[in-house]
Amino acid sequence: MWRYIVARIAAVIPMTVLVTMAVFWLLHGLLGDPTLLILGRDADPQTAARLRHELGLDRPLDAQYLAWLSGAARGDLGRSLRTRQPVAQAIRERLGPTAELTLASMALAAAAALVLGTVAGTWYGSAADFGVSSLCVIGVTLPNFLLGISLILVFALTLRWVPSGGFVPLFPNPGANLRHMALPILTLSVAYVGILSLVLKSSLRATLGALYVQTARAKGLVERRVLVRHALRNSLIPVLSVLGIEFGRLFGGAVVTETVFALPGVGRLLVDAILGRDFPVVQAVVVLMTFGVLCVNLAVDLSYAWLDPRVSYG
Amino acid sequence: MGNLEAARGVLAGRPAARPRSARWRVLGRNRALAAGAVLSIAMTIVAAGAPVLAPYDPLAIHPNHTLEGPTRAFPLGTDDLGRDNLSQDLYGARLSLVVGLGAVALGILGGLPWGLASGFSGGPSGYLLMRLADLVLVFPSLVLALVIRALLGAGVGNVIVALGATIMPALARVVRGEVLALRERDFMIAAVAVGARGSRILARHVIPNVLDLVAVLGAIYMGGAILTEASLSFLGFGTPPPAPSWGRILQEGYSYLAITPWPSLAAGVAIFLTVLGFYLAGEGARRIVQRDRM
Repeated sequence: MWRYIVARIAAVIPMTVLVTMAVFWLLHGLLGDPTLLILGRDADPQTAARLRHELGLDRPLDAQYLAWLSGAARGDLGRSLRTRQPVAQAIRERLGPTAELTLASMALAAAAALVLGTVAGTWYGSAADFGVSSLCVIGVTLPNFLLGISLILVFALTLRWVPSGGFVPLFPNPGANLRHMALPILTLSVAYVGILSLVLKSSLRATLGALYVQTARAKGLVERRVLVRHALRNSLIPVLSVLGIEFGRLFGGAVVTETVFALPGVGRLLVDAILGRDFPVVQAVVVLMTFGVLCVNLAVDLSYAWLDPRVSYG
Repeated sequence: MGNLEAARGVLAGRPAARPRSARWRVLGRNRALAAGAVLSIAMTIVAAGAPVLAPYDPLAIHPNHTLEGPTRAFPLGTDDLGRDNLSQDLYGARLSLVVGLGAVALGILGGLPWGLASGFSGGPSGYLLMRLADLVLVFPSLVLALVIRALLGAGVGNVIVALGATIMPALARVVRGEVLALRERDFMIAAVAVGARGSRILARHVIPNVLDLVAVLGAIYMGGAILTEASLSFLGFGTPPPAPSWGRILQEGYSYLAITPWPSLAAGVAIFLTVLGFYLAGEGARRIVQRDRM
């Protein structure tokens, strides 16, 4: 068991290195010379050469990459081309809203999907199933910016219950934070609720037909115990895999949601950096998001053994 | 379809086709497929017929009618420049469908050979091809599309490339899985046993048996591509103006939300209905394709 865990954790490292290589190559290969973007196309060649040297861009690409990687391993992600602020610091300042948004959305979605998926799966084919499934399909296909704008329209502009945007840190003012974050969290979680509920529904339906569930029923267990102790637990495995696979979608959704609700998060930082051609920031944010996806998938893999006693790691 | 032909189909590993009347009954029972087909066909008609259906030139400015709600003259209201929302949204359907179709076509063009090569060749090269797909799939697809589109610059073609690049590895993964499953089937073993060449097996036995699944996935990815295109436009990285794009109409209208929500809401609902249509059609068809495989 421990050997498996260590090996699985170790496997994240080469994947992360590959990701950084891919991002580095993509940005530098397609972007060309960033000095011309900073100074403009008809910049003085001497000034451009000096800037290139200052930024270390006159070195070969692989040397630049290794320098960046060794810096990144020590937490130094370079400096922003526009603000000259260290990238790591810029990300740290923006991490709060994004972390709260994504984690709270995932928690909310998981809780809602547990209820909705269980209802639809237990009463498969009923009117309740049809209603829940229809809502889930709408949730999956509803553009989050449309949902966000509609929520702002109703709850911020018409009812005036909550502000339409902006951010207040969780501490020391959790009440104000919740008022600002309620709509964004709801907006981001809806698609996830839909996806996870639909997966739980079909997985639960399959599990309820399995032999060990029939055995549990034949033993005379009450249906609720059969469902909670035996069926639901194993049905959660596909839900967890999908949660890991779709975690990247949450970051994509966060970029849009932060824009709709004017949240100063990492997603907004990424969009502004792309607009400003600030490639050290773009590079760091993309790598960081991808690293987040890898870590969540690692956690998902490790939780299989806890959920399903049939899974064992030799 | 005659019995002999049906029997040949069975021998080739294809399920016997249902009689035509039964096919329509499937459509009646498969509510998702029926609703999705109606929605996506309606959107296609809207896109094709935009010049006939639109009451105004979508770019025509009516200076005395800015940011109006629905009136008899402007059924969905007007935007900040006094352009008719309905006409803009009708023309916006063209761009969304063209971009979606282009992205899916590109995704299939790249993803199908990728998945076939990986599944059919097996061994270390097949494994490496799939690890490459995994590597691309680790990136959040909207973020990847955003970066690619930003690097390539504005233009409809570049948006299509950015979206197609996110479809390719996802499609390749599914195709590889299909091919690996097909390799265990009796008709494939028989084909290998009688000494059929690799290219013949691929053309006669593998590709025809994955195409239905590819078509189904194409519909589902089409909805996803239209949604991502709208998100890119909303973030300011969509197709260049002035051709009306739903995402950009929505984003421009967002600034005037407190005055009138109509430009944003109308465009948003158009995006939603289109995405919903292709998603339902794809998921409905997937149910049929998967049942046929059992």
